[in-house]
Amino acid sequence: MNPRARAWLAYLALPVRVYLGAVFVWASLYKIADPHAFGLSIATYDVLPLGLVNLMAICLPWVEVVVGLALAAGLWTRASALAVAGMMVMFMVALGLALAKDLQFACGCFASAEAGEEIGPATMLRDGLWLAGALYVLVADDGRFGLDGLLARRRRP
Amino acid sequence: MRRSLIVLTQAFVLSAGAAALGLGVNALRPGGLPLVAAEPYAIYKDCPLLTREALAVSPAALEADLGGLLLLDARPAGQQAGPRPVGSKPLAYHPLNPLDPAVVAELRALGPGRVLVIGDAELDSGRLLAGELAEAGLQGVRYVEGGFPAWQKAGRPVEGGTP
Repeated sequence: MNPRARAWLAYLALPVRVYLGAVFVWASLYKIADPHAFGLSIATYDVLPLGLVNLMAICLPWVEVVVGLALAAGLWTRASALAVAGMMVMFMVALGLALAKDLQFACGCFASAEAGEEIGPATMLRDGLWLAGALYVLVADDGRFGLDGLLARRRRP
Repeated sequence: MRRSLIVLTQAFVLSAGAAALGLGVNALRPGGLPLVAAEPYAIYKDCPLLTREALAVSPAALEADLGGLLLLDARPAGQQAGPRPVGSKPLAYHPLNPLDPAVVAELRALGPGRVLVIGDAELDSGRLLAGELAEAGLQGVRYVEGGFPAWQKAGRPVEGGTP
């Protein structure tokens, strides 16, 4: 690919990764503030064994916030995009299993299970678009418009 | 290949580091979660076993002027989007989901005998919600017998949606 086209692809990836980073940071806030409510949301999906629910409720929000900040700032950009894509795949699998079982409950993505929007095909579509966005950043963003680029320029003699 | 391996390693380091941070914060914060839940999460509350039944009222027996009442629409969201009692307030209610204490407090503040619940026919949500509100200390709460279908059948005023 010629350098000009590559620069354009990287440029277009910038708003995508800032948006995705903000989404992940935003999504982590209620989960960090109230891990019990998030644990309840995870348990409602009926996918994980009980022994892993709390561990997931404790760790996942911090992965979301760290990866979200790194993605938005362009630090280890491709690695952050890969982590986001991995999480999106995990969310979509959980969502798909819940929908297949015809379970009806709130997504628990941005608010507790009692307050959030109900899961459905629209949730799956939204997650699919975010996954596509993360994959685009993974492929197209070479880190030139972020901390990766800044650090690389500083390292150069 | 080497580049992919670096990206994969970085993703692992980021995720593992963040997870470790989460574990550390959880260990330090007061009321942090135990690493393994001691007992299953109460995904659903028990179906309400009402010890205080609210007062049932047939739509035909209702006073003509309901101006002083708050009409609570307790039907599922899908039905609330269609025709509804004039001036009613929709409430997201399911017998297996806990009631929002803020909503209960708001209704209690209206005073006795000011709430009329209109539910659906299948779930009997009107009777159950009115009963739960009575249990929660709301005085004189009533519900429409037969729910919204009976309300419509009795020719009580309806607004919105396509019938």
